[in-house]
This record gives sequence, structure tokens and C-alpha cells, in this order.
Amino acid sequence: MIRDLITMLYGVALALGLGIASAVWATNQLPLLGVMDIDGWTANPAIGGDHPDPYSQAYFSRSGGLPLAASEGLTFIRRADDAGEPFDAGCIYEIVGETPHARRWTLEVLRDGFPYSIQAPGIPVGLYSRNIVRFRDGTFRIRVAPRPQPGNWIYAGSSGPFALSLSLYDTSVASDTGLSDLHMPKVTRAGCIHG
Amino acid sequence: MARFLHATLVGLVGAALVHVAIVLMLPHLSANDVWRQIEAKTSLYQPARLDRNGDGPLIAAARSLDPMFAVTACRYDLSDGVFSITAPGNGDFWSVAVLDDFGRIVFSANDRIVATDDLELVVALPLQLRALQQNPRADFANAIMAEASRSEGFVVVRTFRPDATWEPVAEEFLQSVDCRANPL
Repeated sequence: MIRDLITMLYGVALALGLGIASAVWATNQLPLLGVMDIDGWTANPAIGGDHPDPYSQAYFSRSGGLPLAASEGLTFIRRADDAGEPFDAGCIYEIVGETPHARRWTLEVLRDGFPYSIQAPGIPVGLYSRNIVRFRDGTFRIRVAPRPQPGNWIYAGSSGPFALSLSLYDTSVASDTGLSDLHMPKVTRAGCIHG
Repeated sequence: MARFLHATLVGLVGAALVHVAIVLMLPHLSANDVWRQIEAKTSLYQPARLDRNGDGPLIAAARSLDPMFAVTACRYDLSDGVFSITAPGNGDFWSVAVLDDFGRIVFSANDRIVATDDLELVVALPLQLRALQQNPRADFANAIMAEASRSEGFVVVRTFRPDATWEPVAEEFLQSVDCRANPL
């Protein structure tokens, strides 16, 4: 009798414990399924549609965010350079290349998952498609560095991890048929201030 | 031993059920989702600026919004009648999204969908939409029609505002946003 009870309690505890823990873990981040990866930049095109999967919906219910809808745009996130090393604000990174076709794009620094905001005027923590210097063929080079740089420069803080978000507005990337090759800018580390 | 294995198996199946139940129930139970924040902080048919460059962030979700965009929300209740939101065009990019009271995106569009540059969007329940089709109204002649299955929700309008010098442009556009209920 007692053994029956203990076995039953064990089963119930396993169900509740594992069920709750896995649900909390799975809704704490955007689902890994349906992720779109272009040259290391990742996005979740499904979240902007009118029938999001239950995990994306649960994630936004928990986090309270307001994602971009499908006809508004698509946000790509990047946390590591092309070599796979996580971004460190103490280092200099070069973002070189071009973006897929979009009416407009914004490139921003994320700290702790949110767009970085500093009170100092004149220090750029984000750039957009119309306020950058480009090469003759339309490609660009943007440096992320703790000190001002010639050309296009973004400040990501003086140290610590950060992420980059590239939001494409009015883009057809999510509905691309694969007929054309999509390219996102390459991100390489050019050196570190602290060695 | 067999008893223990049996209990583990039952526990694992139970865990899967608990997992699915929590994930599916979260949108109904969450007190933190964007709809609850909008519902608590804005009044019906009153445009409210959401982004951090407005009068200070109104809702917690503002932190995650693109700081280069000015964002305005308007809350509606279709039981008052068909909802319409209008604004004269600003000659630049704008986008609009309709979300229901689960925070789900129902409809979205940008300035390229309209023939003129002006924003004119009507949100209606399926029955209201059918009534509108049978008796077209002249004031909705150029409007985009969006169908919503739930009567409560809100509309989000985004305009480009990369830095403070764009503030007058964004502010003028957002000031001209007009939200109203149109009883049929």
C-alpha cells in the first residue's frame, strides 16, 4: 500500500517537475525551430505571421515584446563573429558587405537583449541604410569599436558582451523562394584593445 | 522494478501533457503580455506613443522596440462598431499592424499597399465586414479592410525616426492619427 503510494507520488512529481521545467525552458527563448539563418544572422520569420506557433506565442506572452509583423519587416540577430567567437565590446569588428533587398534597414547594438541607449549625444549606437558611407558598388563597411573610427562607426560599449540586430523594413526575405542568393554582411574581428 | 519503470513511463507521459498544457495556456494566463500592458496604460480610441523617445516609455515592451522608429498604438473594441484609423501620409515609410487581445498579429501592411500615401485602415469582425460589403460607405472607399476574429485588440503604427531631428516629422504624423469607432 505504502509502496503503491510512493510509486504514485514519484510518477506525479516526475510529471509536474519535468513538465513545468521543460515548459519554462522552452518559452524562455524564441523557438529554435523555424529559425532562418543567412550567413550567421538569425531571424524568426514565423513570429510576424498571423498564425504563430504556440511556442513563439507563449514566448511573447511571457516576455511582453511587440515583434515586427510580416509586412513591416524582419529582425536578424547576431551574437558572434564569423569565426564563432562571441562579440566582446572591447574588440573592433568589421561588418562588410551588403544586405538583402529592403526599403530601409537599421543596425543596432543590443546589450542584455535590448537596444543599447546611452545619454551621450553624438555617439552612434545604431546606423541606418541612409546615413552610412558606401563603396562605389553599394557595399559598405561598418566598424564596431570602443573608440571612434573613420568611415562608419558604431559604439557598443567599452567592454562586455553585446549583440547586433539588423532590422530589414519592407523586405521580401521571409517569402524568398530561393531563386536568388541572399547575402548578409560578414562580421570579422579586426583586433582587440585589451590584447 | 517493473512497478518503478511503469511509474517513470507514466511520469514522462504526464510531463509531456503538463508541458503542452502550460505552453498553450500561457497566452490566456500571462499578466505581462503586450495586450495587458496596452490595456492597462491606454484608453480606447486614444492614440498613445509607445517608443522610448515619446513622453518616456509607456509600457515595458517599449525597451525592446527599435529606437529608430516612432510607435503609436490605438486600442479598439469592435462591439462599439467598426474601427477605423486614419492619418495623412508623411511621404515616408510607415507600417501598421493589427493585434488581437492575445497579442497575435491579425493583419499588417505598409505604405506601399495603399494607392494614395494616406493611412486608412478599417478593422471589422467578419459579420461587420459583410455588412460593409453589402452597404459600402463612401468614407471607407479607399480604406484597407482588415478582418479580426476577436472584438478587442489594438493597432500599432510605426514611422521612421532615426534621431531627434526627425522628431517633428514623426510627431506631426502621430498627432494626426485619428482612431474612432463607426457604429454600423
